[in-house]
Amino acid sequence: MESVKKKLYATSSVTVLCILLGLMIGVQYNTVRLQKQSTDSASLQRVSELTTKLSTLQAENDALQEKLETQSQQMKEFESALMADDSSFEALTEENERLKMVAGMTAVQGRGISVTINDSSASADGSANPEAFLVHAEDILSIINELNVAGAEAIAINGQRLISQSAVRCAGSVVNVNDVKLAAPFVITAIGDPDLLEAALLFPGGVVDTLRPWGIEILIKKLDMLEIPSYSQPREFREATSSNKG
Amino acid sequence: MVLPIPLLGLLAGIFLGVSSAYVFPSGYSAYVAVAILACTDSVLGGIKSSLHGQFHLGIFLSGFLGNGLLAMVLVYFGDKLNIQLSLAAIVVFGSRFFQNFAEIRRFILNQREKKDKIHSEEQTENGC
Repeated sequence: MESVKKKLYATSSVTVLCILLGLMIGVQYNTVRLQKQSTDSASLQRVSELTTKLSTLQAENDALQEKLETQSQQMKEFESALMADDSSFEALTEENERLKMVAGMTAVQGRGISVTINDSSASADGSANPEAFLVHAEDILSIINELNVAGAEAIAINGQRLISQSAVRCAGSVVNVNDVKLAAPFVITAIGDPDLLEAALLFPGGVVDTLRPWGIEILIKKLDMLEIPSYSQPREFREATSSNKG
Repeated sequence: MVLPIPLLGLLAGIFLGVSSAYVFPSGYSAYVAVAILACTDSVLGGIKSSLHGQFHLGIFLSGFLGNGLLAMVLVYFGDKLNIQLSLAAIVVFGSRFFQNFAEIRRFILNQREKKDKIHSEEQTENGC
């Protein structure tokens, strides 16, 4: 009798535990399956989310650019209307035009040179520091510096007009100019006396001499006519105010 | 000891668990995993000891609860100290699965042949 009771205890308790175990296994199975699903779909969701965001931002950017163009067009129309109204505005408009040129807010054209620099194709050796075979922001800056010394009147890098507030900055594998990411090859266009500008880059021990040994490709072209676009972003002065009280 | 009844219970539990919409809260997965190990160990130990006629409800339940709690404490502190202490529970319970299973297997096979060597050798061993 005792033995039968004992067996009943054993069987019933083991059975209860077995049911509990089965429940745990089942729910855990559900949990793990759900976790896997959610991690898989989460990464996918993230990618599509970012892609959507990117295209939205691009569309926004395009729309804003368009708006900027139409508004500057409008401004021009107003100016010409004013000019037609009153000839005394002519002088002001001329002054305005000149100041815009100084500030880089208008596209300019004239004689000049274009300098194309590209990363070295010798970088594949892997023997030396691969960094040395790339075009860096510093290289671009030193070229710009030489061009300015030689009297360049307007400079642009890959169509990004350099103005007094422009920054040329290394940003990982690309170079930021006016907060726009640019990648090699870089085309630096400058308006000025072509011979002077070229000489400024080619003098012995100059910029080109220091870059050539690394295999960085530099191509200088003298042009009779080239156009440099205007600075495309809005300029804001938050801190500075004119101190010219006159 | 009638083996099919606990087995049926296990299957019913799995079926109920999977078909239910319940999931454990995230973060408790590791605890449930070691709890499953402890529970499986207790079930196998209980079957083994009842086959040997040595089943004690107190030992069975205290083993189940104690082992389960200890394993969870190990996981908790392992988590805090960045040591995978749950490995200890996994290794110990895992090796005991095989040991208990071997004894159950031998018992059932030897029951037919009536020469239960393991039984006489390891009589002092307890289920939990």
